Amino acid sequence: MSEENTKKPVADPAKEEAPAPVDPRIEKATQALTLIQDKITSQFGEAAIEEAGLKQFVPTFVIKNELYAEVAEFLKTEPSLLFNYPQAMAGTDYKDYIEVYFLVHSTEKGYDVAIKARGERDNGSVPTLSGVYPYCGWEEREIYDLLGLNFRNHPDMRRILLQDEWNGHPLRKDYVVRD
Amino acid sequence: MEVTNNQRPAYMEFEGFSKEENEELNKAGIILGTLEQIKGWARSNSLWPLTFATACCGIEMMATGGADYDFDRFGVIFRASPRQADCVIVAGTITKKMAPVVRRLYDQMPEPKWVIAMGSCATAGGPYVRAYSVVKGVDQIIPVDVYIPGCPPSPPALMYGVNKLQEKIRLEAKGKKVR
Amino acid sequence: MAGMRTEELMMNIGPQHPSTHGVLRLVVKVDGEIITDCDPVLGYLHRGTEKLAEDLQYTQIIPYTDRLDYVGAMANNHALVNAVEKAMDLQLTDRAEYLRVINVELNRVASHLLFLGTYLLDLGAMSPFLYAFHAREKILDLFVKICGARLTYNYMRVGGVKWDAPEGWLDEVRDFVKYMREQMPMYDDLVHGNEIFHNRVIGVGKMTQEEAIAYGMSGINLRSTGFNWDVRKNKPYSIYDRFDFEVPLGQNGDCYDRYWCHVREIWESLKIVEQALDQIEPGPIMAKVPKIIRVPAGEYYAGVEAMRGELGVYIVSEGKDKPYRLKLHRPSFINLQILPKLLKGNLMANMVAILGATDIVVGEVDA
Repeated sequence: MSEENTKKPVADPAKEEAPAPVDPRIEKATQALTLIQDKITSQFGEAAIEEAGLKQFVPTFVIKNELYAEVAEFLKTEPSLLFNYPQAMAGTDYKDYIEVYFLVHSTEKGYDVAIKARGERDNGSVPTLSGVYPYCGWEEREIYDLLGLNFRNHPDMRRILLQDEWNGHPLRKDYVVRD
Repeated sequence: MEVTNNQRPAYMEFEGFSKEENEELNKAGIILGTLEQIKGWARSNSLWPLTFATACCGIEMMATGGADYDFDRFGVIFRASPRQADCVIVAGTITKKMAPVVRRLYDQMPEPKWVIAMGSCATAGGPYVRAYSVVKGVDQIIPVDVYIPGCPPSPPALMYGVNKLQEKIRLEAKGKKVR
Repeated sequence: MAGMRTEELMMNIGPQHPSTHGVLRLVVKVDGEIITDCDPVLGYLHRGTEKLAEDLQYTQIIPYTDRLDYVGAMANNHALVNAVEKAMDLQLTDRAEYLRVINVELNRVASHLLFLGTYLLDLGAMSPFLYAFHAREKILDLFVKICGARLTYNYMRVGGVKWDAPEGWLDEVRDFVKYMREQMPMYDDLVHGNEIFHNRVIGVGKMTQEEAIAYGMSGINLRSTGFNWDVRKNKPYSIYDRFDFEVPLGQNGDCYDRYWCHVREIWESLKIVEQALDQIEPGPIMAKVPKIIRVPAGEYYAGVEAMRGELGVYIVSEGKDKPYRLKLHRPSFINLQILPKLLKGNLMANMVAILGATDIVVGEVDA
């Protein structure tokens, strides 16, 4: 079951040297990737997508910070895409930036897409998606609470899991646990 | 927050008398001493705890109150309001956000009152002892009488703990301080 | 009485309250008996699981997942090991898969029984609580025999399960399924047709499908609106495609539909357990896995159908034995988000019914 070359997340199956059988999941996912990528670039221009790839059979795009909310709206309303069911939202603290990951599923078409946006570590901000998907309201509050990333135009930006007076953002890599 | 045990002195305190008179009365123990023992017996056999379940230990507390391990036969009826409760069984992790609430509930309970710390989270922080938002043991906030280890302690363990508290109440009624 | 000034009262419910199912605080604004606004305050049980997970190896995180949704701990274990196995592309042995399914579905029955007991207790009925907990004790006895714990099992490992079923355990499970099938009509008789129950839950807290989907809800809360979404069927994992079971759907998204879905799901879970008992064969319970589990670098997301919805695990890995970031998509947290919307304009007494029917476990809300 586990062939080594089918496991790489951002590999192009056609470029492998040995004639290994292509994993049908990667083929299907690559088709979805090119379809969505074309749609987004035709609507917003080439600069909208900073990185594109397959992460474990899920087309993943890093979207430019300013266009994040518009791209999400487009993905939801475009008749051939119809991504309407949010599945997950997460924030990760990398060394230079904080990244927001948002996975959304299309109940009509049956595939997922993940869009990411990056914000600065100090006073960075990312546009909110809660206007498009109400699901993001509390998830973004949690990312703000634990990582310190602000969300522009969020209706209710305050801490959700920790006390309002808490100092610092615990999920950051440089957070020191004080007692 | 003051955590001294100044509400329960080592000798029985009778109302309306000074300290020297109290000590005198404690020595003459036939009628008043027996009265104290009767009061201790009555209090221990009808302990009414406050429903204070935070986490997983709360489910085991509910199971102990259920049909298989009946709590009612010990005279233990769960009360919702702290003003009507004798003791509080702190079941579950106490976070720093919850700590002032615990203290306020404890202060709202009328004398005489006891505290049982159920489970390893309430005893000493439990598996979450290295977390940033967990109070390492509820005895940092309120004075505890009986500690029940376990994660979660099974219903027989909880009943054993309650029995230990009943013994402690009866022993203290005889004038011996139990540590 | 003209010229009487009425004001809104801001009331605080919880965090210590008999009907908040754990430490949840609701700050409600009431006008008489009608709720005008509600603001849930969470975080009274925030224990920092995600931060702790960054310092622990994957096998060491499994006991922490138990304590998220402590009523349905088997499914939490399954969520984490499923995500790691999908990331590593591991193949499991058959017996391990069957044991996992049997335990998860038994735990689902136990969790739904607890829901029935506590929901009806909130609404004022004391007897169903005792009956439900009595049946639940039988399931917990089975779990004690197989893994030693009543509530926090720590049973699954990456690549299989930790302990095999002891002698006679499978027959005891079969007896339990038979016993439960006889008991369920009795539990139904206790509540169905009860006028008070009907008045309290029918038509209360209605949701539409579009609302539920836009809020990202999952599990019974979504299925009660009529939308057919079960992770076991729509995004299959493990061996659920070998079983024949239905997914109960509601119609209106009100509290009665959610209650009814819980009852039907108990029946369906018993069906799955029986089929699994018929199909299970002796064999090894653990696949060949390296001693230290290392997940290849990348990002992975996988969800399972936990008792309250879809419990998803998002792993960002650098190729080491500890995750760089472990994010848990917690169904109770997400299902709770719709609560202010549902409570607006409702009576105070309905707040208890709606909050109970959302079936939250605060360990999962706060993580």
